[in-house]
Amino acid sequence: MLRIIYILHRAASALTHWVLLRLTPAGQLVAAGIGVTAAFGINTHLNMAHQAFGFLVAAAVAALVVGRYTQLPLRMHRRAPRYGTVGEPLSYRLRVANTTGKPLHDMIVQERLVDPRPVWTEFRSPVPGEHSRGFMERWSGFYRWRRLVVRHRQAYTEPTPLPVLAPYAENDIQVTVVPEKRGRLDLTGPMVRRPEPLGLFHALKTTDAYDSVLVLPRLYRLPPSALPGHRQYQPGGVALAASVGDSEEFVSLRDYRPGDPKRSIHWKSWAKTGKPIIKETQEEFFVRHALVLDTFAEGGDAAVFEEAVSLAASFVSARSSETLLDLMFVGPEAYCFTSGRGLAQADRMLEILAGVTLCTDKSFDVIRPLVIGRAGLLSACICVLQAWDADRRSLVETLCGLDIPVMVFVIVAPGQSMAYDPGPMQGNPQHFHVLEAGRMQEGLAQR
Amino acid sequence: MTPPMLLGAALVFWGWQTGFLVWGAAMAAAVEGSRMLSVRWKLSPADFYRIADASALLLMAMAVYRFVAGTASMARWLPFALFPLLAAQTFSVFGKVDLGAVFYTVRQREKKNPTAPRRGVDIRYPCLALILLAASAANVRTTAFYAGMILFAGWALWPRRPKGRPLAFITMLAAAAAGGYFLGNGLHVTQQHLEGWIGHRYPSPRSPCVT
Repeated sequence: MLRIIYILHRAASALTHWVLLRLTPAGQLVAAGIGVTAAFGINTHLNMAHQAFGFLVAAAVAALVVGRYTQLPLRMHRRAPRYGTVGEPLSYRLRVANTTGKPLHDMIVQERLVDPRPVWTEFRSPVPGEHSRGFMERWSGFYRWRRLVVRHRQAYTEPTPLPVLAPYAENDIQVTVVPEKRGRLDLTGPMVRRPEPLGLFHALKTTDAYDSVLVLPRLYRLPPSALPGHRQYQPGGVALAASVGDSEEFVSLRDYRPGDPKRSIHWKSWAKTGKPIIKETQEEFFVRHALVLDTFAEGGDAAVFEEAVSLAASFVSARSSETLLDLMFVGPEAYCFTSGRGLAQADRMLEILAGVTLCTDKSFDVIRPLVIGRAGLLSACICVLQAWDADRRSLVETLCGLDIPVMVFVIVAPGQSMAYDPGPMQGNPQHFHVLEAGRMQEGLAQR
Repeated sequence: MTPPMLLGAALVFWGWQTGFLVWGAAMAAAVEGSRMLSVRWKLSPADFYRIADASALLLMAMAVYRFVAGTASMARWLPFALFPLLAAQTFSVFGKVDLGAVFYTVRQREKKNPTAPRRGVDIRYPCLALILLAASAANVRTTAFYAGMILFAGWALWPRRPKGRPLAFITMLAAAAAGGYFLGNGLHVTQQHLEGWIGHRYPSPRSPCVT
């Protein structure tokens, strides 16, 4: 039975897609009119609807045939950007060339995206929250289908009207796609539509041009906040660290190379050897923050997780270039990525965050050794959590016990921002924040 | 937006076909008169819901009357039921009909979330189609209905056709009109033949031909 429901949903979805893509609004009205007049005029003695039916069918067939065999002599070339951001329109340039000696009017261009319909293996398993839906939604599989389609849909695209293309002319236009999910956005190729002379059916021209864009998490404006904490000794320094700051440890002397800063010249050695000598140093005292991202799925929902990733991305984006930031989370294994002071740049960290997924097979305890193991290096720690349970409180308590200033953000589902007990953050309530998914910016502004 | 006079002419045509010419002319004057009048009402979604409910009640009353009185098809009265909603759209500042007035599920959603942006639908073209359907219910067996329908279809489609190909538009419309005429009449003739064949093959016991 479920298989039949799946097939029906798939067929209905394909039909809807075809109707919206191929039929103009007038064509959709004609299609509806065919159905109504067929039903109403079934007995041709009672009314004249059979004549309306005849005309509508003839017009639809004529439009279908002409539209189907109309050629759109176009050449298209797209230049997709490398990055996009969730929820922000992503515009790129599309070059369209008319390859005939006739002007082309009334064309609409839009990007083709990946089919978001779920496969059977996905559809046969229940989705979270399904049991609380009404009988009809569960029985028809409508809720499950809709959830899965939303889960797979990467972006939406609005049709853009093309200006009139003169004979053999080229035109650059801006096509816009709005990413809805972070991660890789697949663009399969641009598509141009043009109605046939009756204006009922669209002729279609597609170009296969695969491209992908990395969609970064949504960013929030963070209010200025001062995390307490001071610079910490970083044993062995940080490889490739830029020469910023004043606590430098001498490493070695070497010959001058063009481009070396004058302040690094070791004047005494120059006097001794008669050639410029450079003093190599390595910074060893830095401000180092940890950013702990809770990726664990127990009891959490996807919207909350997305908001947690967005908040983490906002911290990555807003951090000072002189500060080291250790991003810690658990995926297939526990990860720690460090950025700042000449190490990975913020965009590299955002790329990492674009690919973070929920961890469903491990518990929160897995991240604990990773954080505690680096506690000696940390100036402060920012925890972005999806819950405020015993395990998470325990981690925060341990960090507080180690005298590390901690800032905690607990993201909760919409409508659940009740008063939470700060627990180990009792002494620093100004650093404990509960934010509601969907109202993050509002919550951050109230801090 | 429909072309000027299209809806009015369709209402007059319906009135002529069904015998409600005065009513059709009055409705046409109201609908087309809105182009000359600057009076517009600020109708809220709740107002549109009420008007849509009134239209639905009118339709139900027609259905009841049709079965009680045993009259001919009630479809010929459709414009009476449509008119309140059509007039509301025509004379409202919003210029459309709230989606919740047409779809009950959307209405429930809009009631739960009154701050959501207002979504409307233009019902003028669907109304035109229903007015023509109502005209077909008059069952006037002349070519006037078919000619009128082609005229209104061409009139409605003309402003929406792609630019630069008027000859192709006229040719296709003429081809569709010719094809549609033969198809429609063909259906009628086929039904007559089928009825004759079935009547001959399976005669009714009360038929005088049965001995």
